[in-house]
Amino acid sequence: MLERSSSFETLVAELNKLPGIGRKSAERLAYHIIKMPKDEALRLSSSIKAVKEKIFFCSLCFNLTEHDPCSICSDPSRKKDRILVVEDPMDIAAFERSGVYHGIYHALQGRIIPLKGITPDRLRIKELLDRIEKGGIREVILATNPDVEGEATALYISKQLASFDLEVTRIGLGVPMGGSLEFSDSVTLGKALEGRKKFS
Amino acid sequence: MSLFNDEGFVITRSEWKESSLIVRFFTREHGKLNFMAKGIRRAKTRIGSFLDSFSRVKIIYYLKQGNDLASLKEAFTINLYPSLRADLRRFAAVSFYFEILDIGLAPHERHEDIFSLTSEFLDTIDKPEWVAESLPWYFLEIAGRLGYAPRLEKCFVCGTSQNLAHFDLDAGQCVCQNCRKDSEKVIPMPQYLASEIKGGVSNEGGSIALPSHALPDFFHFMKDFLEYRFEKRIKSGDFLITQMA
Ligand SMILES: [Zn+2]
Ligand SMILES: [Zn+2]
Repeated sequence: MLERSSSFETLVAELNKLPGIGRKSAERLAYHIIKMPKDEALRLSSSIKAVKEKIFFCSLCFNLTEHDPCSICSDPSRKKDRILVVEDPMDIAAFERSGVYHGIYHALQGRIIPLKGITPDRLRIKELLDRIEKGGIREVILATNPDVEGEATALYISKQLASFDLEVTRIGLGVPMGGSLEFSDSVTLGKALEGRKKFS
Repeated sequence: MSLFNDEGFVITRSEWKESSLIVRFFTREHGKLNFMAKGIRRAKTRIGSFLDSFSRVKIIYYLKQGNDLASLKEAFTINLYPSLRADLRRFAAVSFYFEILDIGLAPHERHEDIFSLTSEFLDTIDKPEWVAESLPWYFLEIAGRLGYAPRLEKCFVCGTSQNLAHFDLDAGQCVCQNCRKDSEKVIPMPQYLASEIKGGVSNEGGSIALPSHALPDFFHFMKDFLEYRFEKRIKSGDFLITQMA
């Protein structure tokens, strides 16, 4: 049995903060790291350092990227006349995995949750309006999650877009109410996108 | 460990670990209570689609005596109150109401009267013919049932029922134009409010009808009043005030 040291405890505590990692798993991983060859463990630690230093949000769409603008925004083959508005970069990743969408994105960085103090000014809504103001956008597809806060966010944005000459649509109900886009498969996302309706 | 067959309203949901949720309910049997719902954010798990904020849900759960976290076994939506998704004023008002509940209710305390008020409030706000002018009664009533009723009938200094347009936070009562002190703890109150209330806040549902242009002032007043009483910020207040303007 290893003598409990503070650096060991710190590592366990940090691993314990990761999603899906309980105290037991954190300890198991920490023991594993201790037993690893030193260069391997250091590669792990430097790769964590590298993503924190190199990955940031795209200044146009707020996707996660290593280059600004991101690979989607700078891809000449993407259709630049439609923006798919999602809550988080995780949702962009889900749509990209599905391969059903070929336009550009905008990640709001959340949704309106008044109870948690997340009001419209805390989201990247102004930046979305700025992008649209520059012209060239014909359709805005609102793909926030189909729960009450996601619907309210879509409704709020549709009101902000009312004065622009463009089509505002909302993805269909392929995603079950209360379900989350991030965990939807490509068939579901394809149907949701195909079944989008004009926002009234 | 006992199994309960209950119902409740979803107050808030917080993501937990990769795909789970911690859901705070206002239940009929146990009042405010937190639930762990494992794995439910995955779209294929049916239970996830039954836990939308502010919805009314039939719930079956395990709860150990003295435990703060119940384990959710099954959940079925009774009412999603769909109009909250189609009207930002309704969404904002319900957010404000549930935040007041969340702050004002002590955990694990059964409140049958507040449960039925909440049920009536949501049924009313979901009706197509609902008007925002009916909101003040519910907010004064919920404040009262939580033990924070503002006294609005007469000036607490001289007793007059004329010119009541201010409220003294320390006294928890309104004060007339002549008696009010110049202090940041004396806040403005919509003029019509005191005369509308006359008989106190326990009138029948919705009988206080403030003109709609007084609603932003009313919610400003309720926010300041309750924040002072709770000693806590009500985060959804400003969003509601802008939606009412
Ligand atoms: Zn980008
Ligand atoms: Zn007086």
